Amino acid sequence: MADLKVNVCGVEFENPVIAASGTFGFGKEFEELYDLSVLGGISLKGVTLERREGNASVRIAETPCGMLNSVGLQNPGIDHFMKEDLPHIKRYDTKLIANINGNTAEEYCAVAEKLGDSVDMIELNISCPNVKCGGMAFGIRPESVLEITKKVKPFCKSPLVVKLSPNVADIKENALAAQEGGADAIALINTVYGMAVDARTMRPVLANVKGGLSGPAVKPIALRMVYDCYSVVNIPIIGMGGIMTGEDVAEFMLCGASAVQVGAANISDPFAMPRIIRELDNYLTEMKIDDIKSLIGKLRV
Amino acid sequence: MIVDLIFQVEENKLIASSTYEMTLKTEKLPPIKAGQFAEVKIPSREDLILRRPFCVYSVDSEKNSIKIGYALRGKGTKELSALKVGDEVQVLLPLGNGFPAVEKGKKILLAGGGVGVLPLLSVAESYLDNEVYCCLGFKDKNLVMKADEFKRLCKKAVFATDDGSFGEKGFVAEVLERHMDDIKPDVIFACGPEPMLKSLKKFSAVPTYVSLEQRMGCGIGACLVCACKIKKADGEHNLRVCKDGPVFLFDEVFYG
Repeated sequence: MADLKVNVCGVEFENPVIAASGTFGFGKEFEELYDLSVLGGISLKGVTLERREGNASVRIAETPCGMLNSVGLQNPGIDHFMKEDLPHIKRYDTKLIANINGNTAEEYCAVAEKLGDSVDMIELNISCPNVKCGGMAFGIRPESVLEITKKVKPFCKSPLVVKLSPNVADIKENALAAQEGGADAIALINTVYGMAVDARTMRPVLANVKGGLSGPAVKPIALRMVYDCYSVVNIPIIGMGGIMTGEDVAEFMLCGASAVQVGAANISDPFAMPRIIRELDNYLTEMKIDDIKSLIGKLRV
Repeated sequence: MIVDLIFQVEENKLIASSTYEMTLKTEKLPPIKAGQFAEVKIPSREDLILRRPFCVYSVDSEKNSIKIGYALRGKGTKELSALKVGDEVQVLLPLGNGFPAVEKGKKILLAGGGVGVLPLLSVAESYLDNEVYCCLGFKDKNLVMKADEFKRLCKKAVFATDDGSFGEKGFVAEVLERHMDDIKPDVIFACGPEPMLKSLKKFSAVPTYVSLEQRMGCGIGACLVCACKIKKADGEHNLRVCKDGPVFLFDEVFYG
C-alpha cells in the first residue's frame, strides 16, 4: 500500500480524499453506510449565523453527465451546529472542515469566531450561487475576495481555506487575491452557474430558475482552473469538480491539487468515497508510485 | 441497514399504458417495510448520474425478490423499460420510513391515484389480518393497474376513472364520499398526484398519511434537494422527503 498521506497548510490528512460541502450533510447519514474514519476529511454542510430553510423545491435537475442544485444553504445555524452536529461527527478519526457562509462580512466573521478551534480547517464559502445575498457575490471580483478574506482571517483559529467560484473572469486573479488576503489554502471549483429548461412545460426545472452545475460535466473546467491557479499561487490547492474515480483524484493532483473533494459522486453513489480511495491506492500501486505527494503538480506538459 | 446491491431482472412487463413492473432478484434481501423505496442506478448510462427513486411495493423475502413500478417519463425510465431478463441493475435500499405501523383490528383505507396506487399495494400485502379497503383513481381504463391484486387483498376495492371507463366515474375523493359511511376507516394511507391528495382534506378527521414524491438526489438525507415544506408545532420546516418521509401526516403537508 502506497503512502496516501498529504499535508495541506499544516493539516495532516490520512489520504487526500475529502467529502465536499453540501453533499455529505454533517456526516450522520453516511455513518450507517461505512466507517467515516476511512475518509481523508469531511467538509461539512455550509453553516450560517442563523438557521436557514433554503430554497423551494424543485432543487435538483439532472443534466448530461451532471446535475444542477439550488438548495440555498439550508442549515440549522451555527449554534445548533456547535452543540449537536459537530460533537456527533467528532467521534470519527478524520479531519473536519467547517464551511462558513453569511449575508455580510460581519456574519462570516461571527461564524468563524464561534467556531474557535473546534475544527481542523475553516472553508470560506464565497462561491455559492444559490443565495440572494452574500455567497457568490463576495467571490466574483478579486477585490471583494481580497477584502472578505482579510476581514475573516483574524477570526479564524484554524487554517483558512477560501473556496473559489468558477464563474469569474480570471480564476488566477481571484486565487491571488485570496492568497494576499491571508488564505492558508484555496479550494476550487464551486459549482458552475447554470440552468435547465423543460421544453414540454415551458418552465425552468428548478424552482429557483438557476442553480449550480456539478458532476463529471464540469471536470475539464475544474482541472484547467486548478492547473492555472497552481501556476500562480504558493499556497496549497484543494481541487474538486466531477471526481468519480481514483484516477480522477490523480488527475487533479497532477494539475497541482494537494488534496481533493468529492461532491456529486456521493449523491450518485453513497458508497463512492471508500471506493475512490481504494481505486486511488490501486492506481498508485500500478504506477509504482510509493508516495502520493510526488503526484502534486507533476503533469508532464 | 442501507445496502447497495446488484439485482437481476426476472421480469419487466407492461402493467398499464406506459407503465411497467420490474421484478428484481438478489442474493440476500434486507428487511423492507411497506412504503419504503429504492434508488435504481440506470445501467450503462454514465451520463445519467442520478439514481431513480421507486417504491418497493412487493417483497418476497424467501425468493429475495422485489417489485418496483415505473411510468415512462424520461431517459432513465426509457432505459429501464428496455432491460431484459437476466440484465443487472444496482439498487440502493431500503430507503425512507414507509407507512406507520397499524394495530390489529384497525380498519385501513388506501386512497391512491395513477402510478401512486403501487406503494399502497405494499400496505395491503402487509396487513392481511386487518380490514383493508381501497379507492383507487385513474384517468381511464388503459391506466388501471393492479386491480385484481387490490380486489384479492382488500375487503372492498372501489375504482374510479375520470371518464367512467372502469369502475365509477369521477375523481377519487368524489367516489370515496359515496362509500365512506360503509367503510368508516381508522386510518387513511394515500399516494398519488398532489391535487388528488389535497382533495382528501374532507376526510382528514380520520388520521391520514400521504406518501410524497419529489425530485431526489442521494436518497439518504444528506444532499437536502428533496425538500418538502412541513408544518410542525414550532413553525414551517423544509424536511427531506427521502429521509424524514416519504410518508408524512396529511395535516402537516396540506395546511393553510
